[in-house]
Amino acid sequence: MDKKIVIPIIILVLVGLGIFSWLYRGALFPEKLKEEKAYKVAVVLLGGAYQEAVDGMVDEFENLGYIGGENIFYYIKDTQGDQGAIIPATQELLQENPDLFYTVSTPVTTRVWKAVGTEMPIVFNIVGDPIGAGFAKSFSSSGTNLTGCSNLSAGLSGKRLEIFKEAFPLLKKVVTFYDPTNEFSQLSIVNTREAAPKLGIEVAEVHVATIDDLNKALAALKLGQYDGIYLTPDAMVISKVELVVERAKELGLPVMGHEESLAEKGVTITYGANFYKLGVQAAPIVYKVLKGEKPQNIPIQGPRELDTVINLRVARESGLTISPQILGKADRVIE
Amino acid sequence: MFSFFNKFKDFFQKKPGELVLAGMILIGLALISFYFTLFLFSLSDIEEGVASVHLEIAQKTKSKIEGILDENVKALNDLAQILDVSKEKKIIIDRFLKERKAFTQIAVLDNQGWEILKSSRALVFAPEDLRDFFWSETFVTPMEGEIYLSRVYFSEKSEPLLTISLPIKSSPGQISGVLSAEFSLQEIWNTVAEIEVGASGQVYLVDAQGYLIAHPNIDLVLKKINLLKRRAVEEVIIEKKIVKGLGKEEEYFNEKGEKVYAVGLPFEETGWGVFIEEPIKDAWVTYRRIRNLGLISILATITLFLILFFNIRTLIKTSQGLKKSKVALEESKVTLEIKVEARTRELKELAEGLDEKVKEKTKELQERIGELEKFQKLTVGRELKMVTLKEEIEKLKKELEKSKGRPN
Repeated sequence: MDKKIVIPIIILVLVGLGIFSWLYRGALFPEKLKEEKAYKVAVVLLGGAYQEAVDGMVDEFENLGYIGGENIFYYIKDTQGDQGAIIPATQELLQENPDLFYTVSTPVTTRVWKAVGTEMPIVFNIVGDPIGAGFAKSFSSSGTNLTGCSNLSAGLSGKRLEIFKEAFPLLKKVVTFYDPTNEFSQLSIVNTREAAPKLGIEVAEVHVATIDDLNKALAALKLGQYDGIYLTPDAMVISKVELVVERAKELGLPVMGHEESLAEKGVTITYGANFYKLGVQAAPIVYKVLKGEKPQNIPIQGPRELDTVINLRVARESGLTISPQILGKADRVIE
Repeated sequence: MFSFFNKFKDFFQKKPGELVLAGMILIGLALISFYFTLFLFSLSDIEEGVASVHLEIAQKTKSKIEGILDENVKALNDLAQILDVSKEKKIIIDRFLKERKAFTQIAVLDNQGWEILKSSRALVFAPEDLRDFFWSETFVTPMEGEIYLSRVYFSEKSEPLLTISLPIKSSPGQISGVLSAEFSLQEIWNTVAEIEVGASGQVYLVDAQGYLIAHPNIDLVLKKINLLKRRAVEEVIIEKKIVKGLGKEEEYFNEKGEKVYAVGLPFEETGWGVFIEEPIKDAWVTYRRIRNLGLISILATITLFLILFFNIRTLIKTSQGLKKSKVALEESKVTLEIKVEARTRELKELAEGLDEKVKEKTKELQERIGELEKFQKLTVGRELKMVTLKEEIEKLKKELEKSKGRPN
């Protein structure tokens, strides 16, 4: 054939092949799988029931394909109720160059934020009132380097007292223990104080700054002095709830708490968000932050479910009678 | 018929180039008509098919959401019937709240619009917390015997909520009060999140004001985004149209920055809209494959056509050259034959004349030979005489010499 014809035909065929390979480039040249870096998550908690929120998050991450020690590393500091140990623990964790901090409870979040500053992302959980605690300007956008899940326990304080009254209609006077330096406990107690007169209940507030204080305060309780113990969601008190449960049993008093795992530890009745479920709920938030999203762009989430859990076994052991109405409303009864 | 065929045959036998050209034009026209009729129509059918699949998902989602709303409205209506006759209103309402997690708060209003009872999952209400709703649609609409569904609003925790209120009837036609409930869209969120649309598609729900109220990415809902600026959303929410997503103007960039294709369906009662969106690169993958394969086939056919055309043209040219050469050869042959014939004839004639000339020449030669013979005879005699004379001369010369050499 004539060269003048062959060349355009070859060009045409090459152009055709070029178009074809461009159109099917995905099939011809599949993108190389990106190798993800192993993430580092620093976790700070006060221990006790708060461990549930860590377990939920870790388990959900496993479901997402992130296995601890393989493609994600957790550096966990459990201060076992010691709030003074939070800042040193945080500073120690900073040496590991974590990608973010996962903090459980209001006092932990407050101290970790203070230690890490405004650059390091923090995903909090089991924070009763993130706006009241100053962690966020609104639920839709924090405006800070923090985001996470709230158990709304501060807002539910009044409701818990109402349910406590429904369960034990003869309830007139209850005692509560909290650390007055805990900002969240202060927010929570305000709601309790507002609800108490509406329900015809008198709430005695006992300040406890340390575990020792708590032990002493519990020891000082006298038979017949109160009709029940109402647990203000104070991180220090909650981390040592077994002390409260033990003393309540001795005095034959019902105890009202804010989370299911507390009922498993002997609290008579709880109403609120499940810590483990909140941990599961927080995992996608942690994931987004690890992937580079700014915390202020991720809305804070509240609990999707509020459960009433009754420990009937403990109630019976303490010689308590729970009203059938509240038993009918319970989401779970531990027998 | 045969004469036409023969004429046709003759014409193209004479002009094969035109035959090829005509053939190619016909095939080209056939290809073009195929492209504009069958192929384009097929592509259009595929487009419609893609839209139908998405619309079906939208329809199913819409049915599910309407089902959730209907079921909860029915449950609330059943509660309203029990409440009227029961004195244990609080216990019944609390039990209802326990069983129906979608409701966060319930209030009972008397026939003057005053709240007489209120129960919530989170709050404690004292008598002083109860309010008057006389002028509110929450009260007015149910008092006219109808069910009231509010627009979607957000709690201070950014959770989307809806108020549903309906009449409490003491007897048929007799409305004694209103049951008003705060309904969380959580169950609808879950429903929307569970629906799968291909590998990367998603479903979302927009309220009558254009606000996003359900999306697989809850963060977007919590940010209270208004989506009316999307043409597809505007058509569904404002114009109450079904959007098939086939128009370019209905495409948009979603929150991930992906250019997406979307279909949408309006809800008749609530004014909401459900949308199915999928990145264009994924939504039209089958369509594009077929279209591209079609285009590649057409391109390949054209390429083959061109190769064929150039080959045939070369063949025709060669054939025409050969034909011309043949004609030239034939013409040369005839000329040569004529020339050879003429030459032969000439030679023949020459040959014939030569015999006579040979005879003549022979005769002439014989005569000449005769003459020469005669001449020779004469010449030879003369020669002999000459030789004799020369000898006599020499003899005389010698005698003379001798005479001169003697003394006198």
